[in-house]
Amino acid sequence: MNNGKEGGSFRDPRGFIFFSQGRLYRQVNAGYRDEYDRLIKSGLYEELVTSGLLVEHEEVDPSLAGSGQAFKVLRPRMIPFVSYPHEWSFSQLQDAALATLAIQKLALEKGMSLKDCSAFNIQFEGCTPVFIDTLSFEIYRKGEPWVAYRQFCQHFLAPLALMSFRDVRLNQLFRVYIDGIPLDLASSLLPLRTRFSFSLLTHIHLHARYQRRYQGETEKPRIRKSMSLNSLRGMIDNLETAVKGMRWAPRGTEWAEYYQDTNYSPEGLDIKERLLGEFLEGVSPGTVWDLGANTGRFSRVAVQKGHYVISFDIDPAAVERNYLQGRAQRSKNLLPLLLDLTNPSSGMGWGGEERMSLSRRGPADTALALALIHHLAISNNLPFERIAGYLSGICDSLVIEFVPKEDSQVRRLLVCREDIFDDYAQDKFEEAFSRYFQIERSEKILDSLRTLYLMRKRG
Amino acid sequence: MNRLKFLLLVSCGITGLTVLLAEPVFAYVDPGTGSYVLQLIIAGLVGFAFTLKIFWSRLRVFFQYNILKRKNPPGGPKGEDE
Repeated sequence: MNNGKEGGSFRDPRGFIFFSQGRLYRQVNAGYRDEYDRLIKSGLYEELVTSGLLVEHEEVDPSLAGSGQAFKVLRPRMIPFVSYPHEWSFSQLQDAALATLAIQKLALEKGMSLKDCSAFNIQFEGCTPVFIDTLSFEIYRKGEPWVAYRQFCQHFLAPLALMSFRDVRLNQLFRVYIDGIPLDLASSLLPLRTRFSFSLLTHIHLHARYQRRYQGETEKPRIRKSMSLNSLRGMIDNLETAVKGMRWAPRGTEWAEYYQDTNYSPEGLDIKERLLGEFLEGVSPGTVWDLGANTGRFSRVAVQKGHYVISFDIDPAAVERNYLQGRAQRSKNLLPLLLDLTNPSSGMGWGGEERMSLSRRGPADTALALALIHHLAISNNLPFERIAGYLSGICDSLVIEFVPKEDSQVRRLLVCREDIFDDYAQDKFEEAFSRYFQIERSEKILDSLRTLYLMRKRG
Repeated sequence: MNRLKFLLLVSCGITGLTVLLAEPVFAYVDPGTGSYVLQLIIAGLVGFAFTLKIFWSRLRVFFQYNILKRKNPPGGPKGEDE
């Protein structure tokens, strides 16, 4: 944050986000008066909010403004947890793209158009995408092409095509390219068959070529042609068909069958669920980060206890399944996200402040680290001390499961490597964690060799 | 709809043959101009396809509705909306 201004809110001269006394506000500058009035008076705002596509706001006293150019000050409804496209599964990005196109279609009906199509303008509330940038609308000018077309292709179409036709992990390119995947890069990575699809040939391959051809232009090309509203609608429709047509089916990755492959019996899993439920009754409702959630079985226990749960996992297939299940259940309190805890999202963009690191989006009220410790300590060679130190920085309470060396999952990790983990023992685990946390409860999980702990951060 | 897709595929396939290989862009200047020009170039094609799609869809609804109305008693299935 900069003098109350949110770190990523500087590109648009017509307004910005700022914080005051812990509340989030959006200032609308005088230069956006006509567009804002049209947004409200045309009924577009109301229609978008009613259909759940745009986050609602209330207009508040303009004297709260962060600077002198204010025309309005808005207080938008807060999104419980901010997430970014490289943390989304395939279907999350696809739903975000479809929500953006649905907004553009409604906007055109009301004589407006999206001027900004960044994937970062979409946030998820549970499993529902919602557009958050109220100042992204401009008045539609007859004959003009879509100003956000390039951004839509870079932020949605190209990454979806790469995930669908090449490799689902390629959404990680968002961590490098904050303004979407460069189309020449997408074009070179996509397989030949994508050149035989009209949409991908046009919007990615040809688009990349035209970007190259006109990259040195210093003046707007003098083309007499204009783009009719019907053509613009046709292009939006074509983009929508392309997005809907892309598929990725989660199957057979690292954790996809994990629940069928643990040392827990079905009864053991039920016992663990009940015990977790008991532990969670001891913490006040708030935000829970389930670290290593797989497809979210235990995240749902926390949801039932009244928490808003961010259900993280490293495996795109697990996150996809978790999201599809949550979407089918219209879950408002469960947000599945992709996360490699050994390399969590860092700050991105200008000054590393435009997009927040994971830890800046915390701390969570409670973190769950179930069946996770052995992956961190053995697969990633992390000493208990380092794990405890990091976890104490991202949560206030911790429910953590200790998995001993005798457990089948740990034995599996040690099958092909030398056991150099003499310190991997329960007493050492308790000793290290006690430096950062107060151990409040510990219970053996019946029908297994594992122990579940409830801890609270010291100080 | 399959015919429409086929026609689109053929017309665009011909255009596409000339651009099978996109060359890399190393200087990331504002690429907005290329995007602007491309939209004007494809405007006619996507506009025509969209008009055809709407016309086809309305025609289908019209025929389906009339045929189904004759075949099914009132309250039976109706043609799909556009």
